[in-house]
Amino acid sequence: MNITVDALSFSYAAEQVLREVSFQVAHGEIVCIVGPNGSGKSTLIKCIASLLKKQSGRILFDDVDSERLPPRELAIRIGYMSQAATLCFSTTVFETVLMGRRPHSSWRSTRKDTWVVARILEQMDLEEHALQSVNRLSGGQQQRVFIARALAQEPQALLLDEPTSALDIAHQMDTMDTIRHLARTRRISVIMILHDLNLAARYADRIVMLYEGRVRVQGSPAHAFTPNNMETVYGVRASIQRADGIVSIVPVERSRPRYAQKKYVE
Amino acid sequence: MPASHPLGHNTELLVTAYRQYRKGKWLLCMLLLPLLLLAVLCSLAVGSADISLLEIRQALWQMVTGQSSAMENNSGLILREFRLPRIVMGILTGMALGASGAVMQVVLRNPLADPYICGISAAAGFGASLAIIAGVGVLSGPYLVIGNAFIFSLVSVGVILMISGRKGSAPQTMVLVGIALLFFFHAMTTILQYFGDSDAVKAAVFWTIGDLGKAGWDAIRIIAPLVVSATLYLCWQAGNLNLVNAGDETAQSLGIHVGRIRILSLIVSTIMVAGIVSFTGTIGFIGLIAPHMVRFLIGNDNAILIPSSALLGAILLVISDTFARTVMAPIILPVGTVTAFLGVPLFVYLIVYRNEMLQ
Repeated sequence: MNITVDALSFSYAAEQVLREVSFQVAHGEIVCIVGPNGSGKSTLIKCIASLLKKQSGRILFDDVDSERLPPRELAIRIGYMSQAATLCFSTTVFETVLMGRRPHSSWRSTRKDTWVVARILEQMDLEEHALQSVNRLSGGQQQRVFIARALAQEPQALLLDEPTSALDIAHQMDTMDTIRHLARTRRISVIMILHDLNLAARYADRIVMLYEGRVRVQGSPAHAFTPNNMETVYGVRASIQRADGIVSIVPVERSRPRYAQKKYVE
Repeated sequence: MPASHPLGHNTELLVTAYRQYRKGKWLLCMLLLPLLLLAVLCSLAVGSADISLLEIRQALWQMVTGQSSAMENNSGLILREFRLPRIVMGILTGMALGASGAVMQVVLRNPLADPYICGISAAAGFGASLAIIAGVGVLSGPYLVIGNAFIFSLVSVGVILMISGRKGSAPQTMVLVGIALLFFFHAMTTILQYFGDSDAVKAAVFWTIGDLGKAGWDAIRIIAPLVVSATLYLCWQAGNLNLVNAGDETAQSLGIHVGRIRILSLIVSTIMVAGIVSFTGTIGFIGLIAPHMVRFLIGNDNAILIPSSALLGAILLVISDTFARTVMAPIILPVGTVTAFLGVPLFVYLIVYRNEMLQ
């Protein structure tokens, strides 16, 4: 699915969070949104998922305006994983992932729904936990369950808000490999927020770097992660290295200590 | 994929395992039906007058076939006019409290929520006190007290919806407004009692104590369609309520109108409970304990949780009422106190046992 974000602006009351943000995501492309805390990353992804009502601008899914899509139709096209996904009363892993089939099914789940969920649990290496309560799993396993739920929607696009924040390095790579595999084989477009810049540099086809609600730079990891951008956006002097075509960012020192005093709006 | 297709084989195993797991849960839910039947039979048989199972069968047969009352003996009269209406009212009340308790806990995202959290019982108590002590009411005649209790229950819910609607129907707002209303109506009732005639105050206090004996067949004819249709509606919403349980953002991203589901479920639950409270007074604890017992035994999938909570609520209330009628016979204890006496130790045991299991 092609996603176009065109001059998107959003504000919480008097506080302008997003200012004329524009970028595009092609079929099967992985775009990572990066930026410091409070730069508007989560707000941006929520606006794209239609969870927040944008102030101005347009969001197009394959040239269809998101405002013209009813919620259920949108849920069939787009899978979203929240940064703070939790269950008030814990259900089993299978039941939790089955929730992702809701946009496809009527009031009860079908045979096909259970098959789709079983396959996804296998893909996400969760089959041995299928009948366990989600709240009894580790934070990383829970995160994989919530990604699996978004995948159960069989969406054409995935919007993931920090999908690897609670994962160890091995599971980070497993999860990102799975996401990349889905993007390549099923042509799913992926927009995800990552705080780990090295992970973003390794897996993203394109980086959109936000700073104070605006797109500071967008392009390949090599184009986005430059010492100059790192210093301007994060207030950190960093050494950018390249090995086997992969960019890696090594922070050296803080160049703008006053940054920590900025107001948190994300 | 390897030649043996392990992915396909594992998928099949996983699907089979899930189906068996789910069958087991439904079986547990269905087991509650014979348990309810057993509780009803015990309740019919036990009381100040001992009635044999044969007499129960004869009396029920007479009722079903509509045979002339001239043939009816004392046992038949006791069953038809005294025990059976209490039991049927107990089943309806237990169903309403159990199902609405399960739903309230999900929509308000609060394990302590019960059907009275929106101040319904306090509002109904104030409405009834207004009618009994001051003689002021919306309706007149035999429905003066009941009508007042029902209308004020709805006022309480209306205020909550009005205020929380302005704040985007956030569950915390609903709970806080509900608690505020509870104190407000309690204070209003206290003022009425302070200035009221002592006999009238006594009658008003007696009204607020939950009792299944207040309602007869006429009340059941009004309440039964309300409880059955509302419970069916809540069961039908189970899939959407599962999404609400996953959080507002997730539920919204899965294509449902969270606010609409929350408000509709709340309205249906509270109208059902308001109807019940108007006829029986406040019967506590069933709405809290029945859903939690089901959560512990069966799980949190609302498709099974809601009907199971309704059935377990009915069982608990029928057993409690039987106990209330017999433990100090011929004195009948208020069933609301018995539900607390029986429920609290059981509830605490379950909480402790569950924590031990988790550790």
